[in-house]
Amino acid sequence: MGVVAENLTPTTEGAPWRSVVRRLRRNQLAVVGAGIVLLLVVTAIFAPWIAPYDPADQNFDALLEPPSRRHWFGTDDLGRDIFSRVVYGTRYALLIGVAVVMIEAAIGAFLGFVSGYFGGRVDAYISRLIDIVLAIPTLVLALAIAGALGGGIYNMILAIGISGWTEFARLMRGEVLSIRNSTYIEAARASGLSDWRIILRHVAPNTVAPFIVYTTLYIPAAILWAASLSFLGLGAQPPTPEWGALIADGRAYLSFAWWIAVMPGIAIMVTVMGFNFLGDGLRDALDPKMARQT
Amino acid sequence: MKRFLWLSAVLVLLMATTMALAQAPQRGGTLVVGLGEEPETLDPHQTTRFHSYVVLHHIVEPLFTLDENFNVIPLLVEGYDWSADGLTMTLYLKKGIRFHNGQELTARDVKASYERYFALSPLATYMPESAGGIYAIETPDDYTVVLRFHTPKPLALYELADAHMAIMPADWLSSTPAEDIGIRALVGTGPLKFVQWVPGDRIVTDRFEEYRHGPSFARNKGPAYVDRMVFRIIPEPATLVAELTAGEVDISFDVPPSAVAGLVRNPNIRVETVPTYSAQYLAVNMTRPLFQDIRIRQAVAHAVNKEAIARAAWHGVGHPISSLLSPATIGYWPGSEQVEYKYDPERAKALLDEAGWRVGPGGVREKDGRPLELTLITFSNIDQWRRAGEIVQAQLGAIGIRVHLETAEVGATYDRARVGDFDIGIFRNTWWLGHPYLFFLAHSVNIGSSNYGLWGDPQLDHYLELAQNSLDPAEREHALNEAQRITIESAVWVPLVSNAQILAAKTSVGGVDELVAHPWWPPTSRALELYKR
Amino acid sequence: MWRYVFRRFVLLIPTVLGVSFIVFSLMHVSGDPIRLMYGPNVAQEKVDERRAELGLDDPILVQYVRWVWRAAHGDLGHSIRTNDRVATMISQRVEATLSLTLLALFITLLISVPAGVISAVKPYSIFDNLSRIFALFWVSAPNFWLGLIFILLFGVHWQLLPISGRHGPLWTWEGFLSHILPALTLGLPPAALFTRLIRSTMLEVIHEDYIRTARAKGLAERAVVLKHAMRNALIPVVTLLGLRMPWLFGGAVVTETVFAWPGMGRLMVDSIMKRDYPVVQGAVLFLAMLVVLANLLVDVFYMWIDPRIKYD
Repeated sequence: MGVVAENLTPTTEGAPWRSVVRRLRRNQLAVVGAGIVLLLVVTAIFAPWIAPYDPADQNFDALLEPPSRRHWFGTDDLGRDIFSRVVYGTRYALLIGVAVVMIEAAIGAFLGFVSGYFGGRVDAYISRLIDIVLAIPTLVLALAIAGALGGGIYNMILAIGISGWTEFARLMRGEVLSIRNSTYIEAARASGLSDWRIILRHVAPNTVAPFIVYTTLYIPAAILWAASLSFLGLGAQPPTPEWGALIADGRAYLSFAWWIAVMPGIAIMVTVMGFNFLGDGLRDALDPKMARQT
Repeated sequence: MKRFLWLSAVLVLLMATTMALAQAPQRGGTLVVGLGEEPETLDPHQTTRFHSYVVLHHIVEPLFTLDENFNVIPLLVEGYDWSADGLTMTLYLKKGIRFHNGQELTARDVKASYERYFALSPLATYMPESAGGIYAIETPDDYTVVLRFHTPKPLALYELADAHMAIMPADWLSSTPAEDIGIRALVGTGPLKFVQWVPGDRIVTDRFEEYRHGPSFARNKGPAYVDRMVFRIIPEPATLVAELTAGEVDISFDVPPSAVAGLVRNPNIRVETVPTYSAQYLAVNMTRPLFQDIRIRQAVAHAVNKEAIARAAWHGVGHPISSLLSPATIGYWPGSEQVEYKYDPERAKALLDEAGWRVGPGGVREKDGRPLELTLITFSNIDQWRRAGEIVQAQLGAIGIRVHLETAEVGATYDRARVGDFDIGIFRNTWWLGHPYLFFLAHSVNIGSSNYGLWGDPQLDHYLELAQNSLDPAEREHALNEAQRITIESAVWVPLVSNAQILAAKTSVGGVDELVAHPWWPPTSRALELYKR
Repeated sequence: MWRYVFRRFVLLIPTVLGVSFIVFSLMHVSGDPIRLMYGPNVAQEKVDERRAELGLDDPILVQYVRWVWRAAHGDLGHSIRTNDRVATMISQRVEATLSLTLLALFITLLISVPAGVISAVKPYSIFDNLSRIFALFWVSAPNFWLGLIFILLFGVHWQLLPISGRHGPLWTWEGFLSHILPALTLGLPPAALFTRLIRSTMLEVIHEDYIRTARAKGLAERAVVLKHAMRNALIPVVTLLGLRMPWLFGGAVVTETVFAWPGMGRLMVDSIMKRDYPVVQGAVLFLAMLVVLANLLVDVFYMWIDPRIKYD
């Protein structure tokens, strides 16, 4: 009865959150990351107040203007203000990032849980499915799905989400398996609780931490994949100011109107770095043992 | 003083000579052409795509070609005869024309090539037996070919000048594995011969030394000046522009219009625009009850500002057009400029008011409680179409129509267009000969395939048929003009812009003046005129 | 162990079949390749004729089974667009992709191994933090954006390197020069991942007991670090390398497009966009087989390196 399985460390239950935040605050990079993410969220919410122009406003008298006081990031080939477009683009970046990860987490958590809980044939089939999805290069799979569904942001989100759930599944499966096999379960079973309840009660808290970390690290990945898909022509509908689409629009002008493609690119970089700093910091802070794994 | 005069005279003479020599085309060197899309095959009898045509035209040739006034002129023939009833055509081949593999061009090569074309090409819809065309090809001697037609074909000569009806050696065709033709081997009579195609990378062609039979409009009758012409495949437009300005590409026809502004400012690059026969047009889906009222269609036509589209979507490299046939297409009717619907947003608003669509609280017109909302489809992956979509969306918004823009890549968009899953759409078409072209776009038989207005009108059909089949050239012209009038006045189709072909070349490339003196096709002249300084 | 290998081999079949079926269905849902290829100027009957010729109107299951049967006999069919044999098209492109991705991998390791080792030996130092930021910088930029900027700087402005295209095999001077920019574009971003991986694994190992024991035995610190820590850091690195197999052969999709590189990635993108089913299926099949083989090799490598690991 006194045997506690290795993985049931109480780091993520109750009070330790305080120490998590403390550890996080000491990590400078993580603080920077959190700041960036906060800035992004604020920008997305308050976009109409922050952006000086309507992102779809075409002004034929101000085509391809370099950055100036009137247009901080310059204008594009239809006279639209790049700064406003980048600001509104924050909404799409966050939307895409969060939506994709939610899909990936949902599919992954479900399949991972089922796989670990039932074991046997079900586990084998799902593992095979994971192998299959992993055997196709992500971009190729996303392209094929987006090509079949058609263009547009929502189809793109689905395409990337369907291509990238495998890590979440593996994570969930691992947790479920380790709990299933622990003596704690036998003990708990002996006291009359059903397997299902036990696992759920113990899996949930233990997976919160890694899920949070994965989420923070997968959001930027989703944003980058979306940019690639937009670059290849299968992304957002015009005039949606999604960052990847903005870069794609501006690529022909790189040598003489570089701001059209470079500004959104910098926005993506800052966003990705922010989430990555935060995610790394979270990982180090939430479970020191986890910091040694990848 | 005298010595000074002598010296200056000599200097002037020297300068003049050097300049003259510099102007004269120099032989030698490699010309690198930047292609924005890879051909799928170079086999003229199987391809339908523009970029294949651009390359293969230097290698294989049809019997005739077109001069700068769109007249059919002989290329590989001395002359031809029509029988009195118009059912037999006799062609007399030039003697002594060699293929790249050394064989001489004879009548049986023509027969074999034509028969192969009829069997394989999806473009063979006018000339083959199944269309009432050629049912027999006879070769009474080595240099005479007799074509026998079931019914008279007035446009036959134009077809024979089409690059796709190119001549290849009969023996070579039958002895080469089918999957190699156009991919790993191609033999013809053109000024360049096929050397190698590295898939995804480049197509290499060398000068054919024995070429002497350049068309009458070419300054140089052969052989080509350059030793080698390499077609490099560069799908990314930004990279193509970079290669042109600072890399190894000497000339390209695929630079995007958006890059023109920057290229024009570059002293080492020369940019020319030549009209093409392509058309960007808006079509209204006539299966929608809303569009049965001509006033709605006219309102749309009046609301569209073609100048704005030409300027913004095409960066000035496009010109507004008044007919579905651009001015560079054979059969264009100049009268179309008088009947087209001019940009007049006030008139558009008045028409909508008249039709009962009043402006609602949100700025969108409504009638009987229903808002005036349209779905506009166009291509996501071609800049100019996507942009045009955005601009038209804004222009229709200005007169109170809310437009939902739904773009998809070309194939998907056409899929929707064919089944009428849209309200209005912006499409593209290109063909050099107006008669079959307009038939494609506007005849009722093509509803469900290429007629995206999904509209048929008996009178229009009648004129379209007459334009292709009448034996009287004057009647053909009149019919084609009337057909254009009807398509414009119906407002089912709104012609928007025809793009100019952009030619961008390093200043070290010579012969560009001669090239632009002739319309952009046929491209055989490129091999003969261009050289490296 | 050989029984294990054999069983894994057998598992190849359902995996590969699953891959091909998924891709097959996706491609067929995406639409008609013939109309796309011919363009709008061709009569519908010609399009229908060609579709019938190629058997494209048969039920999907029938087409799939037909394809599987032929593929099992080594016939991957012909491209719808070019009529060339799919197997030929793939074999022509593989070399181009391989030379690029191998060079990229080399660059990745060249940067990440020393950086990871040094970071592990001196954790939380300035070097450690800087290298983390540096690596993160490269991983945050969209891949195609990075490529375009490299072209702009090194190709157009400073004119140091060829802008695009593969100008020859890796072992020729001209070829090598043309490999540099795309390989950098491909190789710099993953350096972040590998550096972190090496660093964290080595940190873990350095704290392990038997390292302390080795130190107690009096071996020089350097030797301790290098011999023991690296051997064990090798394991997850090899795992990651193994998982990158598909990438090695077909992942450089966007980079190949930007640099006009004639490789597998571009072949797949072009074929997907043009709905050239046979080519996409052939290429994906090829990749899937490679992936399964690579995973198998990685597992075998584990067993060899650590006899404690046993599979049933």
